[in-house]
Amino acid sequence: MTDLLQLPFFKQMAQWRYGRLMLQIPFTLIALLLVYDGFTGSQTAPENLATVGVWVHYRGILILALFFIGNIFCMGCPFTLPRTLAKRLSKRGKRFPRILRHKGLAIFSLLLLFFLYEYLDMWASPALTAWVIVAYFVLSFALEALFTESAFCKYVCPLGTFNFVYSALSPAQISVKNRDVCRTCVGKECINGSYSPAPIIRLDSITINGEITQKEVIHRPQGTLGCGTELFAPQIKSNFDCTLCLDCVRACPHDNIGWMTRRFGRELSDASAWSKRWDISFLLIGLAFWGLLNAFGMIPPVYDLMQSLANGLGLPALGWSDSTIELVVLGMIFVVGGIILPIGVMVLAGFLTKISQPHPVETAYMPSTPKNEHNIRLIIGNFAPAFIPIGFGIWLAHYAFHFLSGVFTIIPTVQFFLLDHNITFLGNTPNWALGGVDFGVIGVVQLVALMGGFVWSMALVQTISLREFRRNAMLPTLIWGAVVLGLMLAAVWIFAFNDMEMRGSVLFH
Amino acid sequence: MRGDVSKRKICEWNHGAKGCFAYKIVLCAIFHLESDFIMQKILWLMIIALLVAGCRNSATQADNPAVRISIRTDPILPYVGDATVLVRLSRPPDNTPINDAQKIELKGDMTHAGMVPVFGETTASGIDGYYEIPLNFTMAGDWVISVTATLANGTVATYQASVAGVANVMPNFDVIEDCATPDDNSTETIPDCLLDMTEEPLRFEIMP
Repeated sequence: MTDLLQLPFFKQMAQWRYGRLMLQIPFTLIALLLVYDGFTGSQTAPENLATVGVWVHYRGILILALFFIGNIFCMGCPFTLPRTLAKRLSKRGKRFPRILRHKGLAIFSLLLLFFLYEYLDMWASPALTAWVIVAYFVLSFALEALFTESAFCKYVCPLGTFNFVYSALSPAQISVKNRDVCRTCVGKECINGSYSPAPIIRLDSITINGEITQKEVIHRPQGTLGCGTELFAPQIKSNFDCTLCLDCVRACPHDNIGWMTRRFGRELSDASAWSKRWDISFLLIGLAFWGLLNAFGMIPPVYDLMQSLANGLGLPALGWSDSTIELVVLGMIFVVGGIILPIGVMVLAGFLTKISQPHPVETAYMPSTPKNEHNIRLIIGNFAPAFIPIGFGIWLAHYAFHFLSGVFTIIPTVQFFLLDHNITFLGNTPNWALGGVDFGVIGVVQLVALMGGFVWSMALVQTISLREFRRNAMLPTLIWGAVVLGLMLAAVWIFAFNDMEMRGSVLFH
Repeated sequence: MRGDVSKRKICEWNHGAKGCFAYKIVLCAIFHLESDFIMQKILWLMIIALLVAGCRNSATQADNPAVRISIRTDPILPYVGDATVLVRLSRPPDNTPINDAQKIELKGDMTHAGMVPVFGETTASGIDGYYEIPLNFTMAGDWVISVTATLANGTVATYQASVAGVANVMPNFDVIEDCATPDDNSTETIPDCLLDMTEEPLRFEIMP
């Protein structure tokens, strides 16, 4: 394992109190620029920085960065700046309500964002895109002002939730260098932070490899923040809930925390890395289905389905507007495809797995006690991480299409923006001929993304089955493999057998 | 303990420091803070942003009430491939045809960001105010057609209309209304028979 923070420049940035800010400032300026152009610029989407920046480039770069580096977008997130402002403005508030301390709100906000994206045709509206950015700023500010912990990041933010899940594939993770140090650490500053009105010096007796050494720990009036999402560094086994803020690195008085390299997706096959909660399992599995749903919204059959649903329910005869009818039928598609289908499939697969076992399931993670033997929740929780690669492949295939087909369009869009302000140093006319990569190449990228995700997920299904059921792994492998195969076939049908149709208007008849 | 870190402090250098105050806002918000100062600077930033936005070229263009532009496509429900856009220039209120435009340019954008636009233009004279311009729809979906007409006296009139639902394949013509002869004397912005194809004009402008 190599600590990336020991590399030149990274080390200084990580240790510097305002290192993260240096990454956030450019992101914030970009966000403000997108808001400005979204509200005041051309409302033709390909001519506006807000729509091109968010729906083409942000999404494309994000999905690639998640895989190759990790959750660096949360690290540079501009929405945490108003959060910091709110934190300083507010007094010590309450904790986020216990009843909401799960991923339910995040799942809801993610699904809501996907739904509104389709229903309001956000990709076609610079102003709406700008409103989304503004809403992010306002929400993150409000939640941080009201509650003490990073409630927005941990429980609400849809973008962060997406990043938390797919940064599981990345080859780096926050980790401690020597667990002995953490065992004898007195202050646990990585999670508690530190503050003292006047500088104080504490002497910690740290045991390393059986030897006790005295370590000087200084708490200063400037203070240091502990982990905002309340992850305890020595217990971190995954990238889930980690915003890569590096507060823990700065807070650790023993310089014992690093951003360590690892093999890609190591946590996927580590049973102890994932909570077996219903909400997290649904999130991991659901995101793969939502990837299909999102892509399905861009091919012609979705319009036929919406028309059929509308006719079947007799909606056109009611005299409703097309917009209202679309709201109803698209809502139905999202409820069925985004909630009922993934829940139904995962519960059915869990149930079939349960009855496929001749004996009570006895493993390290499913101890055979009367309470939880044959527990469907645990079975689903064990297999849920296997859906991350196939889900990632689906999202990558979709986002790569938009990103690669329009990768150079940001150039004429910037030129157009500058010319609209009489700035001509990038030319006197936008070069609208700049497009992107050939569609044939994009097709190959999509195929590699889908096949890679599929093979990886199938391998994980087999690994998890063998780990959990040993000699009886055949049926669980077939059951969960069939689900992954179904997702793959649906993705192939969407991407390979249908032409993308970038259409927002639906006229019901 | 974390709550204590967020103790309020006064940004002592906020009034004396020089340089861009946008920079100061961010730094002051993060390092030290006085809420009135922050709110005051945010308001200033918003005012400046509005002023800059008001000076954008696109914001200073005026409508040209002297020219009326309407378009239709052939086929009326276009599909991926070659199509012809029929542009009509006239002078309201009696819709006198304009046949001597120097040049008419089309730019077709998909409503989705990140797609390469298509272009078409003609320098031929109009017939009864009509100009035929070939345009190639490269992808199915919703398009926005921008028309830029350079008139004989050098003034430029622009017009935008959306062409919804360009299909992947030739659509079923049973559902198409008979729109072969648009009513040129109509006082409506777009003839009735074209309403299925084009929405209300987005803007109607003239550039110096």
